[in-house]
Amino acid sequence: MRCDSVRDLLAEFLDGTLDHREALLVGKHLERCPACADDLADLKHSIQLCASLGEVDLPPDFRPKLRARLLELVAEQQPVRSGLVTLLRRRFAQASLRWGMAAAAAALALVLAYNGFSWPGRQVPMVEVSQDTSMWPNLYALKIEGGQAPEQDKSSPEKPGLKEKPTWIIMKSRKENRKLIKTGTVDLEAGNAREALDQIARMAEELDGHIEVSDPANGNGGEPGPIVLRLPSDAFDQMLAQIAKAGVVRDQVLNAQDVTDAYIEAEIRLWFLRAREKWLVELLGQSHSFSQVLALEQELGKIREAIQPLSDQLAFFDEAASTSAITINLVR
Amino acid sequence: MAKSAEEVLVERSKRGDVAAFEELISQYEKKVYNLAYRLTGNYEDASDVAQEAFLRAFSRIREFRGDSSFATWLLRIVSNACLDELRKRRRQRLTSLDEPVLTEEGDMQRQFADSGDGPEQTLERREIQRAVQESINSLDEEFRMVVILRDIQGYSYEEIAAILDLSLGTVKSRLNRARHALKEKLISMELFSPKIVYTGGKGVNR
Repeated sequence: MRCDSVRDLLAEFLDGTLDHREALLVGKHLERCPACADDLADLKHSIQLCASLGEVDLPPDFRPKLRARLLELVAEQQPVRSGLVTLLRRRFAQASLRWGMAAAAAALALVLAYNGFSWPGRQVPMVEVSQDTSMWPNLYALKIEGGQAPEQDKSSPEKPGLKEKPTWIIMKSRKENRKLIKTGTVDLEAGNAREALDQIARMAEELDGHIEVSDPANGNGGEPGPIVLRLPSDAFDQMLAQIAKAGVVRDQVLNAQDVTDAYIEAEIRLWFLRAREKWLVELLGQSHSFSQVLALEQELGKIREAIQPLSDQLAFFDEAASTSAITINLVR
Repeated sequence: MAKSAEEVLVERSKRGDVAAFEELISQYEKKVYNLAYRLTGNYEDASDVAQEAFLRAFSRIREFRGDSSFATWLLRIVSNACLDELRKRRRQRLTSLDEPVLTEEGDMQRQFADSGDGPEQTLERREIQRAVQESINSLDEEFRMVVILRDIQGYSYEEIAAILDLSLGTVKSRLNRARHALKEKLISMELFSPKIVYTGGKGVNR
């Protein structure tokens, strides 16, 4: 056997994976050839050095970080879709398919306007929602025409200079305004349900949470019902770890829902209604005929009626996304 | 036939259950993190790469049909994800500044904090380990991968072939070339103490 063909077999020779005949040939060659024997010794040494490298431990933040990202991934896969945003996406997809990305932006604008009510000689407020192609789908631009600026908007970088004209552009970043609703369900085995429940209640309190629903054992030996904890979102992981200390975790299900789209849609609609409301109030101040006032007030009533459920919905999302719920089933 | 615990966890992970997936990967986390660490040579990149790898495995778990063992499937996803990340990082590095891929001093201190050696041995060991890691980093990614899987993590040829989706012959020749390349690098770094043994006419000082 020649040196270069032996060289090709040395790694396998060391691992003992050569067949009997080959191993014999290589062994014979090594006896006669000091250069190859030397090569083998170096290889052996090098492999030993590799094997001597110890295992390193996972960094302490590895698991919490991974869990947060896994939950985001799950949430993305099951978003709570909103009609408006879905429509926007579909239009964008169709337009970019037909004309390419650049042209898609123009086709994207979606106009919200109330066609049912107009005023002679005055422009009706309109809201135009569009998305920035470069950052799509993470950014929404909102343009309100002919009405009043929505007063509360801190997120609007484009306001200055536009005040004279009745048009506002509001940029919303999807990423920064992300709303995730995290939920967890834990089946916990505890020797003494009462004690476990007390312990969990104490821990929840320490983490600024509380027991939302509790249905303890009905007297003598009845099965305890599920307990629902509500606590700040940041305390989610910590609470799960604490629960595990109160007994044996038999099963655990973690889930998250992404309500960002639904949230942004509710916000957009709310801005629009508020702009509309202001516009009507302004008209009302300038009106002197009874029939005009009546018509305006009627319209105003309709708008205000529509505003209420939207702000309720936003409040619900805010609450649900800043807190998370953990359901605990006590099992025996 | 009753399903194994692993099969149940896979089923649940497919339905988007994060807790089940966490349990499923819990016994592989350390292996994967160490693979990423040896491939990248530093803790920060290792963390990012390993996280990316697990996220990819989670998002593609529906594709797992049980044709191979879960461990093999996971490691295949992980090794591909690691290689993709490494290539991405290399491209970024080429366009930006030439950042060293070397292990940092602080990293090494963490690794050997509990070795029980005196300060001198620790320092020497640390130097050697750093040099070995540096030598591994100097190999091409594909070579790096087989050496780490075989000589650091101890997988068999067959397992490596399944993980990397290569033929057994390719694994053998690749490992052989990788080991020789690593050996040459270690020699050039003067990591082998001069040997008194017969040197075959290559000289004593090497």
